[in-house]
This record gives sequence, C-alpha cells and structure tokens, in this order.
Amino acid sequence: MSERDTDPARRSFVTMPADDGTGVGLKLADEEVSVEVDNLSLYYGESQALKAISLVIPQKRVTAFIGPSGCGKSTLLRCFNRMNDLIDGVHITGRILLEGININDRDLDVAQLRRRVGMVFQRPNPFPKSVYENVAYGLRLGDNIPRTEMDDRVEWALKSAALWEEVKDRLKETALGLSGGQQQRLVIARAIAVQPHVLLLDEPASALDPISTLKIEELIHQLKADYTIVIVTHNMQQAARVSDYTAFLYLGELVEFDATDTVFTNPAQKRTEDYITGRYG
Amino acid sequence: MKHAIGRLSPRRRGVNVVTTQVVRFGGAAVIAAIALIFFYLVWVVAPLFWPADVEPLAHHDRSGAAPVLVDIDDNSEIGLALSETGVVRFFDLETGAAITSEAISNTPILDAQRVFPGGNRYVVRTAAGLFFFDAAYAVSFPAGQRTVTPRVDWPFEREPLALTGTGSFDVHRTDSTVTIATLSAAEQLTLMSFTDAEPGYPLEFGRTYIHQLETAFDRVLFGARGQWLYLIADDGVIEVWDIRVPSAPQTAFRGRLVPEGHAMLALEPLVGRLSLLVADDEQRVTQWFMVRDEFGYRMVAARDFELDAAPLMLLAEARRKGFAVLDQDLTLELAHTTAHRITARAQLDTDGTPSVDVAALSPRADRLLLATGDTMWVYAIDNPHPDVSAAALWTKVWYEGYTEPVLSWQSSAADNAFEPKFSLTPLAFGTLKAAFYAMLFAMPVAIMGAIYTAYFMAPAMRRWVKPGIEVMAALPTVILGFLAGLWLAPLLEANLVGAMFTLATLPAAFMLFAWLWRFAPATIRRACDGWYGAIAVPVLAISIWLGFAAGPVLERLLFDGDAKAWMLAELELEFDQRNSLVVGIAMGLAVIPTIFSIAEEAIYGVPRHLINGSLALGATWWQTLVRVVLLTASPGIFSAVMIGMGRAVGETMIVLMATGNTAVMDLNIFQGMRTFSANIAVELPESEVGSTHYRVLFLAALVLFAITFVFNTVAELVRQRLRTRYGSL
Repeated sequence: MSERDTDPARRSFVTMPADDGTGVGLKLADEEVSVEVDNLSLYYGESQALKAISLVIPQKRVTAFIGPSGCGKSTLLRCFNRMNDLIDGVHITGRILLEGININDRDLDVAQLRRRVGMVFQRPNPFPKSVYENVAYGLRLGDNIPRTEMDDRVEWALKSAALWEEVKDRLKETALGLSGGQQQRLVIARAIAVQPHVLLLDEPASALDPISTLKIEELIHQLKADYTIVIVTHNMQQAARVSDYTAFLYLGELVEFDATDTVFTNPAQKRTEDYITGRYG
Repeated sequence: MKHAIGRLSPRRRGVNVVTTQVVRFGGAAVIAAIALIFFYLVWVVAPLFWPADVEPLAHHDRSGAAPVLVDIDDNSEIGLALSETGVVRFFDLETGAAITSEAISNTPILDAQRVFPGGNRYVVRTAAGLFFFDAAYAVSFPAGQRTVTPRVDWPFEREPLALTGTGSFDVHRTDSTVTIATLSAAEQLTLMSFTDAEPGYPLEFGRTYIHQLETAFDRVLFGARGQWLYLIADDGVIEVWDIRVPSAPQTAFRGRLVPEGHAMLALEPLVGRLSLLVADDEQRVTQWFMVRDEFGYRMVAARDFELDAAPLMLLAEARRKGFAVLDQDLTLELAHTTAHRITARAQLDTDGTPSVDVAALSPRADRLLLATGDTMWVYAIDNPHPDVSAAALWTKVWYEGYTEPVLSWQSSAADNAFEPKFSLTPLAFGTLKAAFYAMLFAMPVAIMGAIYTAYFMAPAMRRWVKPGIEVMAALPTVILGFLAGLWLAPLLEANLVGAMFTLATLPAAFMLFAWLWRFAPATIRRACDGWYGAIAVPVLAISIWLGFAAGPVLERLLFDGDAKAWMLAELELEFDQRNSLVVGIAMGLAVIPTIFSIAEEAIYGVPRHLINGSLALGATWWQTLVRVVLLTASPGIFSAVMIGMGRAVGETMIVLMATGNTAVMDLNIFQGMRTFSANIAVELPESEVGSTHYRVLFLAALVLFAITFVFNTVAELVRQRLRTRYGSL
C-alpha cells in the first residue's frame, strides 16, 4: 500500500475522483512542455531568493510547489506572470520560456503575458463589483465584446469554475456578498474567463474551510483537462491529492522535482523525505 | 486543586467605569454644543417672524381745548398736544399727568404738522400766517434721577410769516434752507424759498415763485430730498413736479392714484417721502413711488395691502418703511411695505367713540396716541421686526425707486429714511458661486494630485510631497486672503490675457512634455520612473512664464490691446479686479490640502491584493486605476470633495479680502460676490444688537449652518452607500 492510500485525509474525501490516474505512472520526459525555467535566479536587492532554478512545467498537468515558509515557492510562481515586477528592487537572471517565448524580455507586453498566464491569490480578492462584472473584468480589458457573447462567456467561466448554479440568480449582486469559498471560485472563474494557457494558484485554499477547500480541489481536477496548472501549497496532503508533479524547494533551491507519486513515496533527496515526514517545515 | 477565576480588581473596574463615562460625556458634550449653537441661532432669529402685539397702555382725560396735533417724544415717555387755542401741553404718556404747558399763539390754530424731514420741529398755521416751533426735551439728573424737561423752542422767530394761499401747505427743510409750498383757491401754487434759514434768526429774504395750475389740487406734499413736489386732488389725480429749479418746475408725471370713480380715503407719505401710501374705498392701501426708466419718470403702484374695513387714517412710522392703518371699525393694522406684510390686527377699545380726531405714532413706533373726544388713548405696540418676511428674504422685492423688483442685499446707509434690502438670495448665490469656482479649481488639481501621489509617485518622493501639501493646510487663510487681494488680484488684472492663456497652455505644455518624454532613452525613463512629477516642475514653470509673456502680445493681436474693454463690448462681461477667478484660485489653494489629503489616503488605502488581482488579469496600470482603484476609493474621494466643499462654503477670510464683497448675482467669473460668511464678518460688528439687521445676520448664519449641515449629511449618506457598495474588503 502506498503512503497516499493510507493517508486518512485522502480517504475521507470520498467524492474525489479516483479513476483519473493522478500522478501514477507519469514521466516528465513524456510530457509536453508548457513553461521552461532555465537557470533562474532572483534577488531582492542583495539577498538571493531563488538560486539557479531549472525545471519544466508540463502542459495540462497540475504541478505543485511545496516547501517550508520562505523557501521561494511563491516567488517562483510569481515569476511566471512577472508579478515580481511590482516589487521594488527585484532583479532576475536566467530565462523563463512560456511556449518557447522568453517572458523576461524587457520589451514583452506584460499585460498580454498575464492574459496568457492567469493567477489566483491566497486571499479571495473579488473586485467591489457585481458577480457578473467580476467575471467580465478581464474580458472587458481587451476588445469590445458584444453583450450576448459576454453573457455566454461569463456563464461558461462560472460553469467551468463550478459556481454557476450557486450564483446564476444573483449575477447583478455584489461579489462581496459571496462566501469565502464562492469568492475564491469566482476569482478562478475570473481568471479562466480570458482563457489563459497557464493557471497559477498561490495557496488557493489556505484561507478556506475544509468543504470549500474540497470544492477547490475538485475544480483543479476538472480544470487540468484544459489548463496547465501550477499550485503553491503549504499543505502536503493537498499537494499529494491534486498534483501530478511536485517540486520541493528549500531556501531558494529546487531540491527535487518529479512525479508527485515519486516525490511522496520515494523521494530521491534526504531533505525532501525529512520535510515530507515532518522533520522540519 | 481548583483555580478560581478572580474577580476584576476594583482598580481596573474603576478605570473602566471612568473611561467609559468620560468618553460618553465627551461625545454627548459635542452633540450638545452643536445643538446649543443651533438653538441659540434659532432663538435669535425667531423674533423676526413673530407677529406684532398691540396692548392698551393708558387712557386719560384731555385737559384744555381739542388738539389739532398730538405727538410723542423720541423715548416714548412724553406726549405733546397742541390745542386749537394755541397751547402746547406736555404730559406723561402713561399717567396723563401734565408736565408743562405753554401758549404759543394768541390766535386760533388752523393747522399744524411736523416739518419734513424728521426732527421735533413743527409748523403751525394761524389766520396770521405760519410759524415754527421746536419741542425740546432736556435730560437732567437731579439727585441721580433721570428727569426729562420738555419745553418749546423757537427756531426762527415767533412772528408769523404771511402766506399768500389758504389751501394745503407743506414745508421742507434742510440744514440751511426752508421751502414752503402753498395752494391757493385761485389754483395757484406758491413756493417760498429761504436759503439762509439760520436758527435764531428770522426767516427773511425769501424768494416767492407763483405758478398757475391747470387744474385744482387739494393737497401739496414735498417729496424725497425736496426734489419732488406732489400735487394731489381728492379724486386721486396726482401731478409730480420736479422743483430743483423752483422758478421753472417741470411736470414729471401726471396720473391717478385711485381708479376713476373711486375715492381716495387717506394719503400719507412713507418715511423719506419716496413713496405715497394711498387708501382707497376698496379697503386697500397702495404704495406708489416714482421710478425712472427709458421712458422717463413715472409713478408706479408697487404693492397693495388688503384691509378688513374701510380705512380712516394712515400713520407712517418715522424710522422704518412701516405704517399703521386705522380703519372705520377702529381696528389698527400694522404693515410694512418692504416685507409686504401685515404684522398685527388689533381692535382698539375706545369706549365706543367712533371717531378719532388726531393720532400719532411715536418715533420708535412703539406707542400710539389717539385723541378722541375728551380722552387721550395710549397703546403700547410691540412690533420689533415688521421689515422681514420669508418672501422679502428670498424672492424679488420692489424697492422704492427701483424700476422693477430685484434681489438685493444692502443693509444700511447713512440716511435714516433708507429702505434696508435684506435679500439672502444674493448672499446664498455668492456663497455657492465662490465655492463653485474654488472647487472648479481645487477639485481637479487635488484629486489628480492625489491619484498621482498615491498611485504613480516614487515612494521616496511621496514621503516629501504628501506632508508638504498637508502643511499647506496650516497656512492661515488670512495670509492667502491678503495675498489674493493685494498681490494676485492686481497681477491677474494686469496680465488677464496671459493668465487665461496660461490656463490653456499649462496642460498643453504638460502633455507635450509627456509625449516628448517617450523618445527619451529607455534607461533614463526607467531611472526616472515615479519622479516625473519632479521633472515636470521646470517645464510647468517655463510654460507659466511663457503664457504670461505671451499675454500682452496676444492682447494686442486679438483684443486691440485691451481685453477688458473688448470683453465689455463683445461679451458684455464686466471686469472687477476682486473677482471669482482670484477667489477660485486663493480659496482653491485653501481647500486643496484638505481634498488632497483625504483623497490620497483613500486611494493609497486601496488594498494591494485588489490591484494585484487586476494586474494579474492583464490590466494595465491605467486600466487598474480607472476600473478598480478609483472605484474602491470612491467613498473616500467623495468624502474629500464634500469636506472640501463644506470648507469652501464656510471659508471667511479669503472671500472677505479677495471678493470685493459686492452682493451681485452674476455668474461671470470676472465679477466678485458677497458670501454669507464674509457678510456676517463685515456687518455683525456694526449692527445694533437685537435689531432686525442683527437678527437677519443671525439668520444668514443659520442658513449657512443649514447648508453645511445638509452638505455633510448628504455626503455622509452617499458615502455610506458607496462604502457598502464599493468599500474595500
């Protein structure tokens, strides 16, 4: 029996689809590459937060970044849509190729990159607008979309985020009236409404209750059919449950990156095993 | 072993109780203080609208012969009665006790009246002619007791002045002249003019002008300042003569005071004699006065007062534009022309005596003296503020001598016969106009500045800029006011075209600079990110200088060298040096720090995760600003604007010093205004406590209070609504 099957948390989530072959028997070498990180280092002023990281994010899979607080997993995630640009004194070396394009290019249109790479934050951050307007926000930034098409796309995004049934009667009401879990799914709907290729999830369930967490995790399972998903999580069970591949970072270094099954059952590195078994973190 | 949870220590409990009570008291005290201010204002203002009261005070038997004239002294203590036998009797008004009496004529008195204008001088006609006497009231304090000793004085000489006519007569005097007009049965008007009428000397060397009349008149009255002479027939026909040249008078107007077929029951000039009050047989009193329009002079009926019964007698107040009507049922009605208001209707109880021989209102209009048969009746009148009504305060009023009803504020003049104009509308207009122009200048500057500082500026620069602007709020407004009045206003007047041109070039230069900046090398642009504000300062300075320098050239090219004359001729815009532009800029500067500070705080406080959420969706900085940041900060920005508005409405020193304080109603930016606050500051120190003027100023304060109260309440309601809608998470 694998460690994952004995995990009581996993067994309690009986609604979890078990037949999709998550993480079992996957090999990185077989995957198509969505993002390629090549020798990436990141400095906050003088201090180095990421140290020469190289990895590939496979397409239409869920990749989890785990590691103790401050290991740089969120920083690495924010490199993929250049959210680190917003922080003063950040300096980056190395390359990140999104579908073959170097996104660290200074002349790159960051707004376009971010439409390609959606992001969901730890705290639900709906705008103080209606449910409908929140989802339509990203769509309205670009071309003028006719009203009927907008309605369709909002409905599609809300259905994709498994929120439609709960909010279809209150689309015009403020999004701030939704529960935390609904808000987070709304934010996911908002992100996928613009049809990104990659979805970055920065601890998307850490502020939510267990039921909402479960719903988010189910959603991640559904979404990976269409999107490359990168998730940062503090919760190792969650990483084990939802991800196909797991990268373990420690003090800014990529310690180990492999199929989730492998990382959790048979880690190659002592440090990974220590962390997974709770020696530190 | 059990651990009991201890009770709150008495000391802690004591501190809790004390702090709770102190906070509660403080809050209640603030609310109570504001409520007290409000109630004090209401308490001072309320008497303006109270009705008047007439109460019988005393009645006493008349001693001596029947009076032809009664009057009351300035302090409403002593009555005067001139009997038909020529005896002047002074008596205590309340008790009727005789004080002194003096025979002034050996021949029976035919007629007597007060001399126009004002004073205690009377003119008496006997068969021998006219003579004058003064009623003098000497105040002394024997044994610490205030005693008034009345006596008769002789201003000229006792010898009567022979009159040619036997009809109606009137006298007008100035400091050195006396003019007498008399009608004679031969349809002649005689004007006698004495130009050296020195007190103590006889009236001598008069010139007499005799003018033949075309029709007969029954009454002659001098008009305002001796310029007009009213000739009135009993059937209501009036002729108004301009007698500034007594030898060659001009007929300025001829018309009727009552419709043909109706009778004129009484006629009395209002104080100052600009207006005539005419009572007709339709229970109506009409106010007539001369106006001058493009067709020349004419007499207009400005307003009517409907009475309850046919009028018997009209009595004009000596110091206000009020009058009393005694009708045939002996009902006394107190009215005021400016306010167009009847403040009291009182049935006088005179023991059933149906007629009144003579009557007088005291100079202060607080006593009424009636002589009926053998009795003198004294009434106390409490009518302190007949001269204000809601309509007179807010709507157009037809003032004496004006061609049409107007909105005007002109509270005082040197002349006693002046008609005060208490319209609050021009002041409300001025207040809002000043606030409007100030906000027009301050709102864009402050809000744009707040957006830039909070959202785009480099943190290092923001650390200097924000406190810098906030310190501006500490600048005393009196300094801004005198800089605006004494430096900025002349500067703008001298460089009007340059200043207006700069208003256009400044943003243009700024945008040009921003456009050119795109071509600067990328490394420089990156290095300067967030410091554009500082880099643009020299550009703005240069554009202001260029704008002002170009002013005279443009003025020569476009406006023939004089923009103000051009504006007056082409746009009919008058230019006033202390104008709304100056106030807009100066008061704008005063409210900018307030608006900036609150708005900046609101924008800066928009949660980072909302901004990141928007940026992560591929929004640009600008899209994020417009669609998320301003929306979320909107309650705060709205508050900032309303608080700034409240400050602009209540601001005093700047408008006082830089507006010219003319109560004009003109939206023209080159005209001044008079605001509530400046008006109160200017006039309250010189208004008599308890007077109508004083109370109207308090009413202005109350209105100002109400305006700011409404502004703030609406602002708070809207802000709360916005906050539940757009408030940050």
